[in-house]
Amino acid sequence: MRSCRPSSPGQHSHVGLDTGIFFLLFYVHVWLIVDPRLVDHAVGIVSSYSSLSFTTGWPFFREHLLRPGGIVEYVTRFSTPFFCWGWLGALIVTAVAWGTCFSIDALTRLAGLSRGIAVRLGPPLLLLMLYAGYSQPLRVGLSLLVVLAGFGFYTRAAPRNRTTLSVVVPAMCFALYYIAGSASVLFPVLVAVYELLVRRQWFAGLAGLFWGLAVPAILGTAWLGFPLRNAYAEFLAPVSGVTVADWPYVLALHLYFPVVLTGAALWKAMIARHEGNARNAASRTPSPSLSARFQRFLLAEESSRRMKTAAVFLGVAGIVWFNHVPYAKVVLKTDYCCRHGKWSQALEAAAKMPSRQYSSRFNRNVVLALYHTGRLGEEMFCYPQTNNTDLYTVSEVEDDVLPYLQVARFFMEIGEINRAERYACEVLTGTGDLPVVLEQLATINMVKNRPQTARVFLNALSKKPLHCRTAQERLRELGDDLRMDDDPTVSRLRKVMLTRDSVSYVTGVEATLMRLLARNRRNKMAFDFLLVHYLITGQPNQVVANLQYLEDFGYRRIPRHFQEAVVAHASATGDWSLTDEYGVAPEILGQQVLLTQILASAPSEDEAVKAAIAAGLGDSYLFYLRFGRSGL
Amino acid sequence: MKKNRRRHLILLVLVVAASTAAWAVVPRRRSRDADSAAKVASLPRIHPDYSEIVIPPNIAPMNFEVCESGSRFLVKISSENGDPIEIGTRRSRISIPADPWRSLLQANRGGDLRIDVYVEAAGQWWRYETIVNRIAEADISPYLAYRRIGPVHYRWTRVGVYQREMGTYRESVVLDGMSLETGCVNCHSFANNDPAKMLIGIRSLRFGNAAILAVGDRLEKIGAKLGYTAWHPSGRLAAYSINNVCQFFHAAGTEVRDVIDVDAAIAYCRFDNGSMRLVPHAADKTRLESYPAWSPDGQYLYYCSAPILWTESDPMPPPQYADVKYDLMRIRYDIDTDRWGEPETVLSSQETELSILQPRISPDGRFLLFCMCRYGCFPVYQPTSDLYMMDLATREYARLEINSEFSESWHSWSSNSRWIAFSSRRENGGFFTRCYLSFVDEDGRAHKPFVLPQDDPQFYDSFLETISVPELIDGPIPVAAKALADVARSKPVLVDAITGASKPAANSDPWQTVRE
Repeated sequence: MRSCRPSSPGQHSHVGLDTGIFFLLFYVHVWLIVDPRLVDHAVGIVSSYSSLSFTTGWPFFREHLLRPGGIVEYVTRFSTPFFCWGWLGALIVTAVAWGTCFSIDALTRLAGLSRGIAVRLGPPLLLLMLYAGYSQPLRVGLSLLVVLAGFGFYTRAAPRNRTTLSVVVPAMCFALYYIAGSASVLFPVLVAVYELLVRRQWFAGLAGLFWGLAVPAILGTAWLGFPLRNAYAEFLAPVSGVTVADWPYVLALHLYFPVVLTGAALWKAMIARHEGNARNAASRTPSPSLSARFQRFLLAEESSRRMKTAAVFLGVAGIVWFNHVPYAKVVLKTDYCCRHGKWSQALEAAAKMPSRQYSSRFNRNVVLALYHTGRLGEEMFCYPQTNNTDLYTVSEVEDDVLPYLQVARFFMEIGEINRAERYACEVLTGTGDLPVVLEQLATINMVKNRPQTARVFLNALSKKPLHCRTAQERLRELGDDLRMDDDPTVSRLRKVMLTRDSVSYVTGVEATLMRLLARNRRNKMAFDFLLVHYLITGQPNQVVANLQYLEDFGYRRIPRHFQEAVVAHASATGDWSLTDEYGVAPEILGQQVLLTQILASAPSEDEAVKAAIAAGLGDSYLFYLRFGRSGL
Repeated sequence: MKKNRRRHLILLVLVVAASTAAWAVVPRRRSRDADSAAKVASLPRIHPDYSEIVIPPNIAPMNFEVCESGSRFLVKISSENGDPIEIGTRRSRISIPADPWRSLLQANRGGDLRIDVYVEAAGQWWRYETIVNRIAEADISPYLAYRRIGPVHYRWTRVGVYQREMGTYRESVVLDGMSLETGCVNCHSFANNDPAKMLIGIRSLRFGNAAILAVGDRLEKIGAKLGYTAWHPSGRLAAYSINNVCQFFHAAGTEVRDVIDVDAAIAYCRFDNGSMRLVPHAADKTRLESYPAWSPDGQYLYYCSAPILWTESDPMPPPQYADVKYDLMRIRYDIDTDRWGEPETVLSSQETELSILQPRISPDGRFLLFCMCRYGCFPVYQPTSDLYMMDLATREYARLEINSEFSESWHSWSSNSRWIAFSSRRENGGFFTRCYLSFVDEDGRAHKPFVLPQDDPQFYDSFLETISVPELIDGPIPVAAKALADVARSKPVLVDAITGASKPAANSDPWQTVRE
């Protein structure tokens, strides 16, 4: 874009330093605090997967070439999987943010103001807010950059005579609409502002506005048959990759640039008028007025630069702090760790979640992580459990894929292969061909001895750039051995897979787990979750009845919660010999005594709860059994 | 500078010309090399399997992949008349040029089509035995309408009815569920294979459950859900089923999903006066009636019927679900007086010990094609479902040789009665449903089926949707998808309520009709 008033070299170096520090901090913040890996993980959970999925091959590319905005969409889809590497994702976000910042500089220079003013950090900040909510607004950012680049090209290269303008403007509008989609309506707005307020070219301004607004109607609605809303307002309505809640940020991001250009042009005009007035007034008035001094202060960039920079950085920090949604990150990080088998890290992440924020999905992850770390019987009630805790049921109207993926993994691991297949298919048909679900369906079909079906899923997986190698490897293994008998995962799952059919809308949890144990008496997961079920549903007697099998599953001692169940059962039946029989630890017996005393002395239930928590019983099964909650 | 530029330009032109010449010459050289090829005493493995089949003379090029290992491939496609097609390539994927293919097929109706496959491996050309296919005299219907849907269990985002031109790979949307805000579109049916007379069912939380009637340019939204629908040959009415469906899931076994009709009846809708009525005797409270199909003379309505084995107090799915077996029935109808006769059993499930479903009569009235499976009403979820053909003159029936170990269902006839399209799960391990085509000769014998050709022979290898309910039609559907979607989103204009014998289909569960 053409600069009207170049800044001085000294000013450039200050600005460069500020910008450098800002974007360094920006990058570090995105990489380490926001964590782009979670943005990638949130695709399908927070942001729509279908608009961000990528498939290699010409048909997919061709499909994008054939529609307006397809090119930017294709680049977005291509780039999104790379967010699985945090540093790379942060780099992409920072690059886009820098592009928007650079564009603001260019716009202000275009209006004749120097660059480096605080307003330039607005778009990066808006982008940061979007990413902090775990949206994937890359398409928004790239569309904007394309349009701004187009505008930059226009300001440098557009001819000035009316005839040529009449050709160039519509051509550029068509080109930008084709590349960037409906976000291109920003272009005519910028052209109009520039021509009307900066260059004072009424014809060019109106021509730009007309063509920019006409192109979506011509190309989108009339020719391609889009609904009017889609042809125009994609950038105004929630766009793919961005949640409805984040729509205001997207809108603000789009409006930011014309507002800045307008503001800069008007500001420049005001300065010019002020300077003219000042010259006239200088000959008449010896001392400036208060307002004139204030204006001079504002205009004296060098003197106020440091103050402005500090204010901007503080403002940015404040906005980032207030915009931060810590629980969203905890939920995503816990799920991310569980999906990648990082069970200990999942529990570390989960520890940051306050009990009032627990959901059944989150709890399912916690319980799975506890199981995999061998801490289920020891620490389950250190986390919030209620008698509504249901590890098996998924609401059929869940909006996101997280619970479906969760239970699909869980059911597969425990041996309910058909249920796992069902929920994996729910993800596939409801959300799309997520690589993780393709891989899982391939495994399920290997387990079910349907190698040809497994091959279809692996072939689809091989079209995902980052999973191609895995898919090819699995295909090769499948080619070598159709039954995959030597595959440890497949053979392990076959050993626990239910083989006796049953049908029901709602299969009882206990009945299912018993069937799994009938299928394979060594199914530790089924056994552990059966005991969990008994604990949760307040059946300590059943826990006690099954303690005899603990050794079969590798337990060297009775875990704490099971000992607490023995005490609860003994207390209920009066048969205290059980505590000796199972070697219940004295401190657990002490807990029972303490709880009994608290209950006897507390004037109310609430007081009893408070006293029990104060006594350190809030994480015990005894507390849960009495008050129906835990993790306190 | 200018001279240099010119030189570069000339050089570029020469390189392009040389490359083009090489491109043109190399296949001929290959051809000469292949003449001295050693013979392999077996047919080449090709994918999809397009060997020893009868092919329609108006089908799109049947591109395939050679599954023999080699570094170069040469395929010669020839017949009695016309120029042979020769394709030389370093890739195993064989793309047949459309125009020569069309010319060859058209010039050799009723003749053989020979496919010679040569493979160069380790510097030696090998020639496999010739694949001999037969080109039928009779065309297949020029269009196919079908539904594309993922392996839906409960949730879905995209369900659509599409049409495909058989002479090309061109596919277009008839009605996309996305235009109804993730609605379901299904049960498309046509009168006598006529694309200008169509009924298509929709289910949408926002736009309701309805059927779109498209007769020529006339579009109407009928405010009732029509289940499995059969147009009367006159085009004046359609019989349809009302199904109260219960979906459930198997804890073990190959197929996870299953479906029963908890209640079902058959009704009919007269388009001349807008009335919708139950078919007497086919709306019995004690029986489940479904899958209506008209005889081509319009005098008989064929349908399937099974006794209800449970009471309303039984749990769902009822324990007897696997004992439900449908009989094949028919009932006489006089369209002029709107009178129905008495039902008669055409084929009893007691006799077959299987459930008889989806009867479809050939347009010439000679054959009845139907499914039989171990139990139930939904053959696509039954691996045991096979296609059977009944000679209506003798009522003798036989299992077709084209069946596989997986489910076969959703069959339809071409208007000349020489071709059938059907859904099968034979490829890809019985999970994904694909559309197959088969030639039926005058004796009612169905010939080896082949999968609906695609431009990319590997298309189905990674295609995660099913192609089901294929309906052969005699031309493109003349209504634009946008017009259909607009009508689907509008208020219904033709509404009638049915009360009587059986409960109407529950409409609260959007999944009910989202089945393959």
